[in-house]
Amino acid sequence: MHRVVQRSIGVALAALALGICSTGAQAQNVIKIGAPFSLSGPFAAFGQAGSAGVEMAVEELNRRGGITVGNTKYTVQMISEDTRSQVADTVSIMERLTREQKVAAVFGPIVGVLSTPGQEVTQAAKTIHFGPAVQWNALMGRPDKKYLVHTQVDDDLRYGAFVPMLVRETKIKSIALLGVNDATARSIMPKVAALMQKEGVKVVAEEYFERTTTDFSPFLTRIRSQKPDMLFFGYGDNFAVSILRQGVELNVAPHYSAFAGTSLMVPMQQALGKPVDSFIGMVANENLLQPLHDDVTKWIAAYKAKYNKEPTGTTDWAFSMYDYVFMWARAVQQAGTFTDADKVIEKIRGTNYKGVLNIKIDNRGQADHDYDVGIVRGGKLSWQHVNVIK
Amino acid sequence: MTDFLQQLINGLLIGGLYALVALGISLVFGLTGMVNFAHGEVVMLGGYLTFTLTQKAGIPFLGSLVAALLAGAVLGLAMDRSTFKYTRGTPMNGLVISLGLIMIFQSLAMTIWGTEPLTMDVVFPGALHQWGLSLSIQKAVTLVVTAVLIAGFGLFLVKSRAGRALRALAQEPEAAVYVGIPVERYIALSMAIGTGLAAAAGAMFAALFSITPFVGTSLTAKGFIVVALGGLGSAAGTIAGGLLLGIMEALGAGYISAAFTDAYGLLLFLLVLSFKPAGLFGVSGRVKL
Repeated sequence: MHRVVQRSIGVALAALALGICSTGAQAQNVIKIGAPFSLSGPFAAFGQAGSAGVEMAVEELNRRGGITVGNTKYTVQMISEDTRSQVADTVSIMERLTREQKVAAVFGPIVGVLSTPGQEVTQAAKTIHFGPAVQWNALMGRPDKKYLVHTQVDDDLRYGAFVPMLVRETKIKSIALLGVNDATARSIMPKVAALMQKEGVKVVAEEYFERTTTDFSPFLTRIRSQKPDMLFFGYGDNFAVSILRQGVELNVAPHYSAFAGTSLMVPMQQALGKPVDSFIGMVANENLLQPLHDDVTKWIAAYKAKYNKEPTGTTDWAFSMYDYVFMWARAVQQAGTFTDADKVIEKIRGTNYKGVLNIKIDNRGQADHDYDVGIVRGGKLSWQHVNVIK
Repeated sequence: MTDFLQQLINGLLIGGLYALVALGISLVFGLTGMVNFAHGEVVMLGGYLTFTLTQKAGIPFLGSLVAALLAGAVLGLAMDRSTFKYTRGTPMNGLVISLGLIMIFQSLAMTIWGTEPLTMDVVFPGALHQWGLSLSIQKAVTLVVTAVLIAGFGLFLVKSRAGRALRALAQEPEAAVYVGIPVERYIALSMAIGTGLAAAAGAMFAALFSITPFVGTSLTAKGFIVVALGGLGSAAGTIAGGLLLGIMEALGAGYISAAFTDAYGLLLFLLVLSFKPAGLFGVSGRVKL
């Protein structure tokens, strides 16, 4: 009996040792990346889209054989964290990801309210950090923000192309601007106002509303008295649908336009049945409603297969992450390291990447990419692909 | 002048919905002293239920609204019997439980309806245009239904036996017990009525605006401002407070800036409480339904 017990303990210890060895070997061949997104809370729609973008890319990357660094093959492990749409949670998650998990890169969050405080941690920890926040525009190129990669088109480029197109399509002479009272809209609206004035369009109102607003009638009534040719507003389907509906009810303007926050698919569909001269909606990345090229169609099919659901108005935010995972993986392979962030970021800056999006990264880490614009006119929806990259 | 009248209409519409939400808070607080922070989540669930019944099941809007009202009442009853009942006399426990319920209801809504904002197709298309004023048929219906629900609630409180019992219970609880009013039964009834009205407000809210799982939080906050404005436990004060808050927000957003819509309500709140600490219709130390 005594011998049986001894033998059992011996076998157990051997198995344990083998297990430890194999776990150690496995851990050596894994590169961790952080994916902190709002999986719950008010920004969950954005966060779930961003998380899906990283998850799909990581799975595909590993299916293709992972990343080869030197002569070693690595699989990529996505460390998914829920920020609960809270700033404090985001910052502590960033601390955990960079200091404890020692991730090679961080992807997300989508919303600038969270990712802007979050990047303070990643930049101090010298960790490469990808994010689409508008607030990051002002950070790019700063020496202390060397490891940031801004995954949304620079506002000057984006609106520099969009505003002339709006004026050309509608022949408007006056415009009213209406945005959420936050850093994103307050950064974009003055730029749009300046570009409109440059195009000879008079800005008759520039108004900001609280994020919690549901009834827009009071200030739409005031804007109506200014008789604008166009009401330009942003951002997101939740605001856009209500503003469009209430604006049409109050007969605020003949033309309507909205800038990207979500894909604006729902308001575009709703505008089809409304008595508007036009509704022009800018999509942040690619429209998933009527894809303009095969790569997007294939991506939608993969999304549906994985999540067993149709893409929604916010799903296109997955594109602000998806291609960038592959871009980072390519940079790691080219740099021959995933621990030396200086070498990896040098392989990201000043490069082009053709994924689902056609992306160009400048020497500051700022991305430029093409995007789609939907135009509802005469009860029909058509699309234009805006080429930012010449 | 036309714009001013338009702003009054805008204010009355949203103010009526605030009043409907706040009546439930006031009713339950008047009877139990408990603050139910999950009240706004019932509004949200009422909105989602109406969306599903109208958009997916093809049930006419008014039918869906009645279904939401009944479902809200059942939910309120269930909340009271399963949890709040055990917190009588310790309102702080009830408050903590209601905070937990917020998380449960929001998670439930996220699981069933997702996190994307949902918007109903226009149920009653068209708009009335007269003397430079505009009012969509949907908003006109909302105004009428809100008025009917508020008037019905008022009649119930004044004319019905149950309503009189509720008022007695709120004003003189001990005397009400002595004359044989079954306290627990009437508290449960007040909960059911309050959440039923909240769910009906949610139905009308969903027909006008987008709904998300998180829409209830700000509505709860507005509800509490309305209750404090009107006077804690005062039904008439709550209705007046709701309309006043709606008009104040509409005039502030319409004539000053939309960036401070919530601040106008708080300003009104501070002003009223500076001169009448018990609220517009409240009497210090007393609750009157």
